Order: sequence, then C-alpha cells, then structure tokens
Amino acid sequence: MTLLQFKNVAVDMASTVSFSVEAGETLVLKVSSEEAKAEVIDMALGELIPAHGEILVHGQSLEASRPGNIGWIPAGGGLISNLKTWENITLPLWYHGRRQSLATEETVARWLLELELDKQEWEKFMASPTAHLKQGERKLAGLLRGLIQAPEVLVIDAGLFDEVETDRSYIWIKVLEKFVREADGRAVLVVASAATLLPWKIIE
Amino acid sequence: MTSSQLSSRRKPGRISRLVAGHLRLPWEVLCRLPALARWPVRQVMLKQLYFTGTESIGTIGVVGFLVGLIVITEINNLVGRNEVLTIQIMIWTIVRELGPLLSAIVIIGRSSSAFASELSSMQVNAEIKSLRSMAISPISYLIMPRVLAMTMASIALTFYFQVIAVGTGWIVTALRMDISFSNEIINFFEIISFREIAASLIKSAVFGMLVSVVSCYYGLRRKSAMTEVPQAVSQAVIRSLMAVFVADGIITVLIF
Repeated sequence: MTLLQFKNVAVDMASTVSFSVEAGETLVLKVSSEEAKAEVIDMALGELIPAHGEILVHGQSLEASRPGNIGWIPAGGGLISNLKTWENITLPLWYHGRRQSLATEETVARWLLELELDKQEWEKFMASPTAHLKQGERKLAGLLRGLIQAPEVLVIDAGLFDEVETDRSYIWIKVLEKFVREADGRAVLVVASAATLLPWKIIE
Repeated sequence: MTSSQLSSRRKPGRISRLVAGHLRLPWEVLCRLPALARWPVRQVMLKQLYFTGTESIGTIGVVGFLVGLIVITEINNLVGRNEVLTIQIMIWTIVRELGPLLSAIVIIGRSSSAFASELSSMQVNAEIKSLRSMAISPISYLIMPRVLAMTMASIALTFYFQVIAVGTGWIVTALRMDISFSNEIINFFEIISFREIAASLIKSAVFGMLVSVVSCYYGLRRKSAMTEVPQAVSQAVIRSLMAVFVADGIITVLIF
C-alpha cells in the first residue's frame, strides 16, 4: 500500500524528486541541500505547493487527505514554547479527544519504557517548561510526541539525530522501527541533506 | 511607466490585502468557536484571561484612581459646587470615554505587544507549522481563545476602571464640596442612562476584539527571521492604537 508518493516534484529550482513510501517502510530521502530538505518537508506537510509535479497520499491529492495523516518531527523537536513538556507531548491526543487521561498516561509510559528512560529522569523532564529543557531533551520530547500522535507517515528531519549520543540514537532507531511494525499502514521517512548513519534504505 | 506610477498602482492592492486580512481573521475566529469544546483550547483561553485580565488589575486600579482624582479635581475647579453638573461631566468623561479608552490603552501596552511577540516567535520557530502537522488549527488553538479572552478581559477591566475612577470621584467630591456621599451615589444612578452604560459596554467589547485581532494578525504574518519580531510588535501596537481611536470616534458619533 503506497502511503505517500512524490511524482516529479520540482525541488530547489533545479531538480525533481520522485519516490514513494509504502506501508511498513522506514526510508531515508537524501536531498542536495538544507533548502531542498526544508522544501521537501514543507511539501509533504502541505505547507508548500510544488511548482511542478504531484504529491499523492493514498493515491489522492494531498489537499484531499485527512489532516494529521503526515506527522512531522523537526530537528529541534518542534515543541510549543509556552507549554510544559507533558502538555506538549500529549497535546495531539488531548486536542483531538482521542484518549482519556489514564489511557494517555499509559501510552506515554509505554513509549518512555521503549525509549529506555528511567522513571525519575522522565518525571522531572515532564514537569519542566520547554524553555528549561536541554537540546537533547527537546529532541526526545519531539520524538515522543510524534510517536504518540501516531500518523500514517512520520516525516523526520534527519537533524533530529545530530548531536545525540550513539547509544541513544540506536534506541531511537529501534523504537521507530517498532512504531512502524506494530500497526498496519505506518511508515517513517527521514529527510536528510547530508550523509547519514541511519541503517535504513536511502533514496537519492 | 515610472516608478512612482508603479508604486501608486501597488498601494491599493497592499491596503486592500491588509484590510481583507484583518476582516478574514475575525470571521475565521467566529467559525472556529465550536473548538471551545476542546479542553486544550479552553486552557489557552483561561491562561490568556489570567494574563490579560487578572494580571492587569493592579495597573488598571492605579490608573483608574489617578484618572478619577485628576478628572474630578478639574471638574470641581471648572463648575464649582454644582453637584449635578459635576456628576454629568464625570459620566461623560469617565464612563463614556476614558474608561473604555484607557483600559484599551493599558491592554495594548501589556497584552497586544505580548501577543504579537509570542505569535511571531512561534511563527519563526516553526511552532505554528508543528501545530498544523498535528492537525491542530492555529486559528482554533492560538487565535480564537486569545480574541475571546481579550474581549472578555476588556469588558471586565473597563468596568473595574470605571468603578475605581467614579468611586475616587465621589470621595474627592464629598471631601472638597462637603456633600453627603450617599446623596452622590443616588444622584449618579439617577443621572446615568442605559444608553451610556450600553455605549461603554459596546466600546470595551469592540476595543478588546480589535486589539486582539490586530495583534494576532501581525503576530501571525509570515516571517523568516527573529529580526522581524520587533517590527511585528511595533506594528501591532501602533495599529491597535489607531484601530481603537478610529472605532471610538465611529461609536461615539453613532451613539451620541
């Protein structure tokens, strides 16, 4: 099942990009520059309309697809600055009323366990305002929010893995693979502008 | 075609876009009112109500007291011991004009700049894009609760300002003119009309809505760098002031 498809989409004024993301895949799309990376992400999220080419979600145009089908984790986590970490992480669930408070806590706790964080560490981290978090904690919170949002295609800026300890990166990779495996019709697309050590199929 | 001809052709387009943008925002806010049923939206509204309303109480109280003191002293100097005329002028100045206007100015100073800078920073840091990627409408989650909160806070703060300013006026008049305080209160409620209370209420609601819409509009405008944030803040403050004075003129002419 093809979840996301770029057909001859003009990127960065000079080149075109064509690829498709199938359900169950974890892919890395390598583009030529930071600008091209930002453009591809914006186009996948529907923020930017391509000058040329077509973007399809489930074979339909991007505009016709359900909002929230494509999730996004920016390099810095993309947290909302005036919310606490817990509020940030659970915002998509609270906003869309998809979970009761106990179920939300269970979902978060499960992913925290998968991410191998000990309870004391994450309890302190959850109560902190976003402004007090370290860069690595912001990235982690962004990753958690993406996992909890559970979109069909999770688009990740490869910068998320920059300056993250190797051990921790490895855990994140395992968790993302599990995220894709544990439900039908999910995929992860990492967009990179430079060489990456991520162990997934690379599209150039 | 000369450059001056070109610029003169562009101006109406820019102005009409600006007006359309300002008009579209309140319409979108109105359409998104059902989002208030969502808990996070109500939470944002309560936070903003606290920030714009509760945290302004001290400032509004001080300004209200001083305005009451100054205005009533000047009125007493002007009309002497004419109690009815003193109360009449107090209603004209404090209830009809200064109450809504000065409350709006305090709100602009505190909250308009804060709204514009917060939303601008969120825009630059891609937080608004992040919200959209979670299928959360920035209008429903960020703008609508701010507009509602500022409108409600403006009504409440105007009323509070008027109570403080008029109360100070009564005390000063009673002390300076040796008039019974209770008589003053009775006379005040006999003289003040429903139209004056309604006008004050309409003005405070309109000012609150205008200031919030203008501030949010400049906060949400597309920006690419943090250096554009101060510009957005200054534009939000200046345009909010302009909007309030223009609306005040229109409402005053229409009602009185």
